[in-house]
This record gives sequence, structure tokens and C-alpha cells, in this order.
Amino acid sequence: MTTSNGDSAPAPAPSGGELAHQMNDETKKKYTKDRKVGEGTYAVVHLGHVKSTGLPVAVKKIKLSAMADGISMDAIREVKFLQELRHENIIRLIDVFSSKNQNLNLVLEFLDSDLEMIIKDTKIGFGGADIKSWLAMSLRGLWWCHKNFVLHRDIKPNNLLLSTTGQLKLADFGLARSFSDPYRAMTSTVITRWYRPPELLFGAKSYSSSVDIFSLGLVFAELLLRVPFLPGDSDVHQLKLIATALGTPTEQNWPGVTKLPDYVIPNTDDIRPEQGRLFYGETFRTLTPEGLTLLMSMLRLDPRKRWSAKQCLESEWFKEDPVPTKPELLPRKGGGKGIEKVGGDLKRRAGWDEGTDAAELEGHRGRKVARKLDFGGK
Amino acid sequence: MDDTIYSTSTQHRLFTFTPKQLSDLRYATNKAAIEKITESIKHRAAAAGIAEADVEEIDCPTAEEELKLVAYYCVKCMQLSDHFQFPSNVKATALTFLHRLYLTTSTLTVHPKKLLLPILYLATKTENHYTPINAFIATAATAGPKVTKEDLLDPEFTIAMGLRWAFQVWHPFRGLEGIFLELNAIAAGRYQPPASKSTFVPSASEAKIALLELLAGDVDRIGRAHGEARRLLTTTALLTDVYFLYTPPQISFGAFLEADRELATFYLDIKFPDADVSGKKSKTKLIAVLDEIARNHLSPGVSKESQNPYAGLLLQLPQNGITTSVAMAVDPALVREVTRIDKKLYRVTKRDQDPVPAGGKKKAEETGSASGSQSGNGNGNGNRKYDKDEERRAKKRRLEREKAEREGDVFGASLSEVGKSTTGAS
Repeated sequence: MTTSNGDSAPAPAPSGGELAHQMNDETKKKYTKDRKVGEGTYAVVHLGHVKSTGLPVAVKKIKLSAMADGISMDAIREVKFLQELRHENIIRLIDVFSSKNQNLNLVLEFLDSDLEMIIKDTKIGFGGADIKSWLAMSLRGLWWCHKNFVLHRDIKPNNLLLSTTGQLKLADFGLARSFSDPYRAMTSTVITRWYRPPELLFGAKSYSSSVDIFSLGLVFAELLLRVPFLPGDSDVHQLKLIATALGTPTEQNWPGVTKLPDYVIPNTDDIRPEQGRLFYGETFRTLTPEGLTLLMSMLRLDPRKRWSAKQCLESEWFKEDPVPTKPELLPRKGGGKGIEKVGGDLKRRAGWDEGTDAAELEGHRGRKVARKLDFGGK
Repeated sequence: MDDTIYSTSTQHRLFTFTPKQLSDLRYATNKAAIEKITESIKHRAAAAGIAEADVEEIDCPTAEEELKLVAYYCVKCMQLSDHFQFPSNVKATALTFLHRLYLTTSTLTVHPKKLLLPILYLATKTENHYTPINAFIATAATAGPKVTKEDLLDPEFTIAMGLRWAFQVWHPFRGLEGIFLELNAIAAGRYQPPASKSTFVPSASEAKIALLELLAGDVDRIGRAHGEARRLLTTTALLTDVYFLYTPPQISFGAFLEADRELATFYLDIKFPDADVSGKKSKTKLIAVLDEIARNHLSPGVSKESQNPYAGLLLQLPQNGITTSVAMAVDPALVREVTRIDKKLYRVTKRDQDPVPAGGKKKAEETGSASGSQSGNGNGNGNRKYDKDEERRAKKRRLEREKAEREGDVFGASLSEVGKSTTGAS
């Protein structure tokens, strides 16, 4: 038996799987780590490159301390789904290897900025054609996830990474899961709060790909407004923001909603019908009618009425002028600072944002994602 | 399932083979492991000053024997999973992991017995079936095997590497639910053919009439067929090579065909009516494949005596002495055979560990099979001292083995029996 770390004796021979170990060492030797670009309690991210080609990669090392019960479920989920999902708009997992002390290393495609940086950088200007391009790429990535029976469950601007050639890639699959069987309960405490759909805030135990569509609808809104559309500071507040902006969920606009475990009317004194074109037109003045239709269809209260990723991609908005900007011509951030930021994105335990210290954590953007995962099966 | 999607899956890319490829891989893994251990034992002998000519013959399990041993422990893994009352997906994933791992890992390198619980634990994690590790250990103890946290976690990386970090397994019993639901929809007159086929396929009411005619009042028949197919998919299918050879929907249909040929054929006739010429061609091809799955792999009629459709190839078939059903696992002849292989494996791996190679044989005979021990007997390179502890463990193993042999089972008493008494805990 291999001993736990802290033993002063030389590392004993691994318990079997010689061929596997040999392959592991060969994989490990293919890459170098150049410099650290992010470190958190969960993982360390290094910028590195493929020795033979010089191509840059990001190496995400998941710390042993984060693996009290062996390889953590977050890490397993991330590896599991990224191994299956090969798509231009999904971050590519190039290799996996273990380093000394059984640290898990994920070799990921190198990406140097994310959508959050672009949105927040007031010096960067972008327009409808650019938004169209980013949204189309996000939808394509999401379509592929859903077609593969995978729910991402943490769509938000800083999980939409951008390559040096402008390609957008969905990243951070630590909260992802396969579609559930109808009788198995799912946890409702996923997705960073500002992007969480009403059914999850109402504690739904079964839900589908429409949760990701709602999140992406809010990213769409944020790209238009350049500020988060519904930045709630508690779950109750989040529901209230949704009800005020989009309408109060009721049996009329969402049959069955009152039966959800945590259903409440968040704004009893101000019950509103589900918002229509008028509201959307006033709030998102730059958007064309087709664009408004798309946004409204992504943000429907009743998840069954929301469009699927495929329906969204077939929206007329993508066909009308202006055509989506070519990825390589999109506004970019990138460079030195971008690398550090993406290093920060990647180092996170899925669903968490880690500040540099505890005090900063408190006010940190989108930090309050629920992590209390119950996995059902009760 | 969309074929383009399946073809990008790790199940297809890394773990799908032709029968010949699969067989070759097993022989290659066995050969490499034998070479390695032989060299190691000779090296030890040389270091101890023993001339090569004096080194006793090194008797390793053959590829055939290795496969029998792994197959036997697969049944044990299935029983363990049932003891934990894990859902089908956890059980099936654990079994698939075992099969996949031993394609490239030899039992000479790591004994399957050591991996049953770690693999089961890993399967709970990959299938999103969260089980706190202490609860897992406690439940394991009620089935007999006493494990520590280290026993469960230390092999995790080795297993993951052996699986090439591919944790997604597509199971055919999910697709089976679709067949079941659709047949019920047809019976209820709610069948909706895909738009592209609507000109060929019968209308909902025609389909309903045809099905009700076939059922002839036996309304439970769809449910029974589904139940039997599901039973095959959660037992026999997991003890054969079907996951390596066929796609999940093929396996689902193969099981359904085995369960109720008439009903399965009816279903396919609805999907591919004779009027649809290209569809009919696909159907003929499809039925041939499904037949192969049903007849060669899943049918309870396949036995030791059946003609082997894959003669000369090392596949998991009863004809090769492989346990493909839980019932077969109690066949005394098979148990004796597996015990013999286990002993052989123990002896040779022990020789690779002993500080004095010449002493290997004597001690191996004294201690016998490796069963009963969750720790030790890895292919360690360290010179472990033969001490009092080892002697004590060896004695315990011998006693356990004798007890097991009395009960006709190398693994110990049957799990249900052990569960009831506390004496089984070692």
C-alpha cells in the first residue's frame, strides 16, 4: 500500500498499473510549466507549452488538500465532461496527468481573456455585431453540451473564455452534470446567483437545459447593458429582481409553479404580468425586434416556454444585418493582464470566486453561489 | 443516439474494438506482464547469487486464466454493489471500469480483488451518487471486506490512469426506457412517427390496432419484456464484452430482442416498414447485428457447451470458462478453477516480492491463495521483510481460504450470509 504523504520513507512503488504509470510519465513530459498565473485554495494554474511544438497551454493543478476524499467530484465532473465534449466553442482538455504526491493536472487549451473583462473594461467599445458573434458562439457551445446530455449549470461572463483568435469557449465544467432520469432528484443550488433561473430559486428538483438558456439570456442582457442585469444580493432579492423585471411567476404564466418546493410570491405588493415586448424594447433600446424576440424567448419565466439552444441559433436576429463579427475581428483584451485573469478563472473551484483575502471575498462579484450540493438519491 | 455524437465519445474512441482487436489486446497485456515479472524474478535471483539455471520455473497465469479470474471478480463486484444497494448506473459503471482497466492492466500487476471497492467508490463519484467515504467504509464492513480510507483512495489514480481519465459510460438500459415508453405510446394510440418518415410509417391508429392484435389481451407483455431486457442489461450484459463490441442502442435492442423477439420485431417493423426501401435495408442489417448480440452474448442459452462463434479469440464467453451470470458464479467446477488460478497468481507475485527468491515457493504453498487479503500482494519492488506480522497475516489468509473453500467460494461466504452475521468481518 502506498503511504500517505508526510512519511519520510521514499515513495513506495505505485500499487500496480505499470503501463498506466508509464503512459502518465510520457504525458507529463510533453509539457513544461512556464509561470504561475493563478493560485487559489483549490488549484494552481500555470502557463506552459507543448515542448515539441511550443504551443501555449494552461496547466491546472488541483491541489491535494482539495481532495480529502480522493479525487474530488468537481475535478471528476470537469474531466469527465471535457473528455466527451469536443467542440470549437468548448474549452479543450488536451491531457490529464498526475504529478508527484498524486496531484491532478489538467492540460487545457490556452485562452487569454474572458467576456467579463470585455464587459467591464470601459475603454473597450463593442456593438450589436460583436454581441451577436459572442452570443452565437456561446449558443453553439451550449447546443453541443445539451446535445450530449450535459447541463453546464454555471453559465456567466467569466466562464465564457476567449482565445487569441477571438473564439469564445465555454469553460468550467465543475458543476456540470448529465441529464437526470425523471425520478432522480437534482440539486437546485447551482449556478451563480445573478444568472440563476427562477425555477432553481424556487427549489425545483428536476430541471433541464433551459436553466443554461436563462443564464445565457442574462449574459446577453449584460452585454447590451454593460452591467449585470439582475444583481441580487440574496436569493430572496434575486427572485424579487426577476419578478420586478420579467414578471411575477404565477399559475397563469407558468402552470405548476406554485407547487415548487420554495415557491413564494416575491413581490406581493407589486404583482406584474410576464413582461412583453414593450418592456424589453424600453430596457434594451439598441436591440432590433428580432433581437428582442430572442432575448425574451431566452428569459421566459416558465422553463418549458424558453427556447432551446437550437431554436435560439435559428433566430432571425442572427440572419439580419449586421452580420456577426468574425471572431478574429472581435474586440479583444488579452495580453499580460488577460492571462492572469483567465488564470484566476481557471483556478477557481467551480462555482466559486476566490478573492485574494477573506475581506475581499465578501464583496467579490458573484461570489455567493450556493455550493451546498445535495445529490439527491434520498 | 446520434451517431456523430457517439463517435466523439470516449466510449467509442477509446473503448470500442473488433473481436480480434479485443482479443489481441488481452494477449498483449498478459504477455507484457509475464515478461516483466519473469525478468524481475530472475533479476532478484541473480542478485541473491542464484544461477539462472537454478531458478525454478516461473509459472504465470495465461491470458485465458487472467480473464477467468477478472470475470469472476466482476461478479463479486456486482454482488458488492447490490449489497450497497447502489442504483444500476453506479453498478454498471463500476463493472465497465473493471473490464476496461483489465484490458491494459494485468492481474499480475494488480489483483482485481484489491480494486473492487476502490472502483465502486470511484463509480459513485463519477455517477454523481454521492456517498460519504466513512459511510462507504461502514457499509463495506457489513459485507465482510474491511477497508481503510487509504485502501480506497490509494489506487484511485492508478485506476483513473488505466481508464485513460475517461469516466463517461453510456449504458444501454437508458435507451431501453425509450423503447418501453414508445411501445406504450403505440398501445395508447399516441405514436408520432418522425416527420421525415411520415409517408411510410403507419398512422397512430393503425399502429395501435396492429399492436393490440399482437398483444391479444395480454396487456402486461410490454412490461414483462421490458423487465426481462432490463434484467439482462443489468446482469449478463455487464459480464460480457458487449460494451466493447457494440453501441449502446444496439445493446438495448439486442436485449429487447432476446426478451421478446416478436415484440421487438413488431417495433422495428413500425420504424422500418416494407414500403421504405432504404429503411428496409437498414432493418435487415440492424436485425443481423441485434441477433448477434442476443444469440452470442446475452441469451441465457449460451453455455460452456454452445458452439463458440468467436473461436480462437479471447472474449468473455461461457465457452471460454467465463462467468457471464450470477448463477454461474456458484458452479463448483468454476470456483475450483478460479481458486487454482488465484493460487498460481499469488505464488508468482509473492516470488516477485520475497527477499530470498528460493524461499518463494515454500511460503507460497504455505499461504495459498491471495483471497482474504485486501492489502499486500501488489507488485511491490521493495524488499519487505518477512516478519511476524506477515506470518500472522499469512496464517489468517490460510484460515480464511480454508473457510472459503469449505463454503465453495474464494471470496468468502456469500454476501447476504455475511451481511447477517458479524463473523464475516475480517
